[in-house]
Amino acid sequence: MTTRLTVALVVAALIAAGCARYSLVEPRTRTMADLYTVEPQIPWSAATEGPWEIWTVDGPTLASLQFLNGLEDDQPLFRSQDEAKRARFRKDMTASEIAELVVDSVGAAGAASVVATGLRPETFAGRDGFRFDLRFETKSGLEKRGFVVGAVANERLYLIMYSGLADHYFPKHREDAERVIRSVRLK
Amino acid sequence: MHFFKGEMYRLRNQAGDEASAIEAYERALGRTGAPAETNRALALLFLRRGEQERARAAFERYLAEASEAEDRAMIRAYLEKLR
Repeated sequence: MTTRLTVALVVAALIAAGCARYSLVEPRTRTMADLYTVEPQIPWSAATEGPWEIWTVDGPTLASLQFLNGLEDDQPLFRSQDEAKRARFRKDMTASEIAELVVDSVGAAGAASVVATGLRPETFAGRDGFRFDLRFETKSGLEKRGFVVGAVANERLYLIMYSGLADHYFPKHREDAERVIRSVRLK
Repeated sequence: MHFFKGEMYRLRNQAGDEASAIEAYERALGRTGAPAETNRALALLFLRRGEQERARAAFERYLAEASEAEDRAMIRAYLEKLR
């Protein structure tokens, strides 16, 4: 392989990964946000972006497991240049309002037709938490499916969001994502 | 129309918006054809304001109107905490 081709491939990989630096998550106990531990069963690649830790196997545009690691009061879910206009997390939000915040934020980040369904209670890291399903279209019109679990703990928002292209990548790693979620243990 | 006005105020959540949203939702409920979600939205606002009894009553009206609502398990969990 020529040096020029190698450089081109590295640049393409960085662009595809949003220029984030990825590291290997080995299948063993890992502490998340100093609040809980998870036990992944397969190797994932992980990158950090603000309060989010993003795990992926095939690439973040195809499917990813994203951990929101303790968002503070009055902060937007995603960082952006126009974040002053974005909806913000409030520490007294109900699960219904957090689902609305996720829908609003994913939409503001560029997705279309964002819908949350099936909001229900689910214990998360020993807290009264919630789960809901998510469906949206990417900027290029591809359908994505996902689900979100989370809770507010110590006045901060913790979420785990799994999403992927609906036709192949969402089901491909869905059970791996569910295993990670089932392994959540309060530290 | 009043329901959507209420949604706009509730989601924007700037100074004075809570009261404007409640007024819009109550206007919506005063007319026929208000969506069941009007009572849920009202309940969420009452919760935010610490008006637990009014929140409970509005959640119960929501479940009475939309007994098969897909978020009914979550609403029942809220009601458990409010009892």
